[in-house]
Amino acid sequence: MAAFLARRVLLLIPVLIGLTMIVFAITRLLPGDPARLAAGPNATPAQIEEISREFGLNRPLPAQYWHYATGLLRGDFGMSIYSRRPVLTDLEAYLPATLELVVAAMLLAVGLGLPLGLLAAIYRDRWPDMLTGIVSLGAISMPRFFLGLLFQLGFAMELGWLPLSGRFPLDEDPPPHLTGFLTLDALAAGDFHALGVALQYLALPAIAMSLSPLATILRMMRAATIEVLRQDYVLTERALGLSRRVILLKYVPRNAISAALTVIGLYFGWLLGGTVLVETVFDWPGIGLYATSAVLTQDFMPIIGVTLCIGVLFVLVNLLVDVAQAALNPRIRLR
Amino acid sequence: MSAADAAPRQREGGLLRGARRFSRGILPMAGLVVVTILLVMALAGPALAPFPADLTGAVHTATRFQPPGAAHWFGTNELGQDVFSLVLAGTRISLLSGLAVVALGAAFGVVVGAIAGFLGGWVDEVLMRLVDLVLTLPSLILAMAVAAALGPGIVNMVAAIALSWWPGYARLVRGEVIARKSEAYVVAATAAGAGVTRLLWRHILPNILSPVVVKMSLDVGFAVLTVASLGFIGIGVRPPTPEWGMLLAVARGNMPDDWWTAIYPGMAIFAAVFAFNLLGEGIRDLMDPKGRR
Amino acid sequence: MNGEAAPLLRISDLHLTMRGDEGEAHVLNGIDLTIRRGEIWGVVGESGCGKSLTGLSISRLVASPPARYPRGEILFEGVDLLRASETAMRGLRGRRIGMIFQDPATNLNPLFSIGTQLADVALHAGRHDPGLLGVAGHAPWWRRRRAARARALAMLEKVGIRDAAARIDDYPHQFSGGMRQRVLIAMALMGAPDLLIADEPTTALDVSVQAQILRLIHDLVREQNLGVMFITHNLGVVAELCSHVAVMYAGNIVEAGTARAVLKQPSHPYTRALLAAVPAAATRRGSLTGLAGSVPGLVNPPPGCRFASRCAAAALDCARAVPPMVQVRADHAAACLRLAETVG
Repeated sequence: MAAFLARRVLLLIPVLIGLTMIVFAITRLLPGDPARLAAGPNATPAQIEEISREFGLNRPLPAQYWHYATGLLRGDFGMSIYSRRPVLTDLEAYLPATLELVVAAMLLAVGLGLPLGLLAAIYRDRWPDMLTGIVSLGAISMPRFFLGLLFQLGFAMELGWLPLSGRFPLDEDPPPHLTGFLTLDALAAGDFHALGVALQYLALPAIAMSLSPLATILRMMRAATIEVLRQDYVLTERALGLSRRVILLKYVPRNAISAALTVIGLYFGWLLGGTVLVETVFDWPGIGLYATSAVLTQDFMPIIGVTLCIGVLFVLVNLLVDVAQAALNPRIRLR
Repeated sequence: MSAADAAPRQREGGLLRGARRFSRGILPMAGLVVVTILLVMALAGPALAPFPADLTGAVHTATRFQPPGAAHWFGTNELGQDVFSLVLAGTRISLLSGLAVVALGAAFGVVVGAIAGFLGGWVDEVLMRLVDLVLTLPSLILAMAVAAALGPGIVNMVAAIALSWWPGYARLVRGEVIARKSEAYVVAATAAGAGVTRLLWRHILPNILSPVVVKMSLDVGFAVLTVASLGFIGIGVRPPTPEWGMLLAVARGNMPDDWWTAIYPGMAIFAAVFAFNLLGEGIRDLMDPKGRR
Repeated sequence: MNGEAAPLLRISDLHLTMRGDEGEAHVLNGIDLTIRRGEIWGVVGESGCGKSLTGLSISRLVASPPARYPRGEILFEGVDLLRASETAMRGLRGRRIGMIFQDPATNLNPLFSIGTQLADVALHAGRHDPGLLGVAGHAPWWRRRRAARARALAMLEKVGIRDAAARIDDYPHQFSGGMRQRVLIAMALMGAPDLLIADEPTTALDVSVQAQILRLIHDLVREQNLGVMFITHNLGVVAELCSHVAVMYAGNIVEAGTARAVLKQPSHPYTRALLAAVPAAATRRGSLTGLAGSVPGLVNPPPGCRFASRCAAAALDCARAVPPMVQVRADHAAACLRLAETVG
């Protein structure tokens, strides 16, 4: 198992290097002059030149990349031309908010998707399954930003059950900063009131984000379970009298989850990249909004920083998924 | 007709039987109906709009924020424009953009995948590493960045989104080409003296068509969703082009009093994506009978 | 053994239809089979003749739609299994009736150790037979599990797995094909059943391993006085292991009796063709006899003898009704109207 882990971690390095290269290449190869944009519409050529030199934009490409890559290793993600702050500082401020949202959404999606998928497979082709099928297809088709808007309309404006937007009320003190996850920080400080408030604010955006992955995980689990139920070993288990409860609750889920796990990893990455939609609707101060404003001002460093960040997280999550697969499947880990 | 040509022809009978099965399924048929309606709306476009002037930026301050009624089925927005006409015109943009994204992504991806699969060796390795890397990048941010850099406009937006779409096809086609390279009838055709290009065109491509078509039909819905997402953020199209996502974004400020300005464009997105997904699932079940169910 | 003892299993006039895309196939067309303790019945026939479905039907493992049993009964120790409740059936499976299937590679759950899988079967059986584990039914679960594991260990040793104590926590992929089949046999016998149904257990194994497994089954049957239904298409295995044999064709048993009698003097034309097709040591090269024609479609089967279309001795009467079983000798019967002509 240790050897397996070591091997996978080592493989990460070339992937990460490749990632930085490709991200750098894409942003540099695009048309547009960030120095001009940062300088403003009335800047003189001299001022633009000055900014260009300040940010090293007038150096040859490979030199710029080298400068950037070595900077990364020191923890220097460059400077945002727009906010004039180190990108790292911005990331530290915005990333935890997005992560909290994505983790909450995935917990919901996995926590509900796996058991519902199992049930759908057991009641296959009967009305619960048919209904689940249509509803999950609808859930995948529903645009998250529209859903968020509907939630706001219904639960916040009409019914007043949950807050409209933001992470925490402005007139209250958030718990002391530990992880950046308001829920965890509140828990760590033993402040259950703050925990409740944070959860209330987290509820609508997390649910809006979770519907699409929930539906997909459900369908994957359903398909995987159906496949497992057709296997010879399940027939043997039945032939030797094992009860439905033992088969369906002990044996089948472990066999089926392998397939669903891969999807969970992929969706995590996809969600991370797509948070901007929900963040916009709920004024959630995360990296989605940060990246979007950087895109609109062609501020390269933040774009690269955010993309790299998400890419790295995605790779790490997939590593976790691989480890989980190995834990589940003895054939992988006992080579 | 040599044995080499015989294999693809057997599919015909199965397709006809499958078409009959398709028409018996109520959901795919519903999807097909809605998609057809949407396509008609898209193609006829502005010609069907009851208030065509609104589409080019006409402003009627007197009739701002009319709730849905007889004159304006979907009400009017903050500029007094007829929401129904706007949504109708938006069909063309969203639908055609979505289809273009899939077509472009598929075309590029198929070519890359075919080259990788057929040539193998280091070409295959390099191309597949590239595919893996692009797939690791967050697709929405990539599309946003490229679209913003290229500037506003539908063509730029479509190209930007297609950039994150092609790797899926490349991987699919590469896998299929590799699987079929060694199949018997290809070997037979080689024995009969077929050249390399002829091999590729006549024998392999028609048979990888099926999974590619299935993937395309399943992707259109998501492509339309992505187009609307970019519009919502404000990248790609500019007012007064009535893209659904953009209409929704503008209408956010009108909540909750003038809800119709947002609800109808939002429902349009949902309906279109849902219909395409239903249709796509139906096509998938048609062409790949051992699929999910 | 004792001919007067009540039979362990009596299948009477069993009919089975399966609904499929093309219609309803009459898969079993009136099966009669009686198995007593100590008897090893080989059930032979080509693919699709219904032998596997007969075995699965005993344990009621055939999905019922699309399957239907319009007629017949399966009496196990006097109880009609076709009409028993699912709860009752679950009580019998793994406990009174054990089953082994063909491919050891796919019949063990790859993600669980064999010890876990064996112990679960023992636990299930022990719930109904407290004497099996030596632990009372109301004892705490960890004590029952320990007893189950001990029994699993004992069974593994009995089926010939060396170092059973070390290997009980290993996973299926760490065993060879032959050893996996031994594990499956251990699983099938965990509950000390009376009837063992084996569906081609040696077909997927190497010839050398086959012999070992057959010997194992033979010894276990002897020791525990089991009744066995051994499904196979391999006549050589039948000759080696079985005390009795039933030959099936297209859903009917066409010949049945003691193995010696049937193999020495095959009476049904199909049996004779089967035996003629097996190459003997003395067969000349290039002179293999095959059987012309193919099995009739089972959706609209012919009304009479289903073998008639391929039978050299067929007459007009053969196509009119399914021939009844006719005693050829005391312990030997065949379902053929033309026995006088075919038996030399």
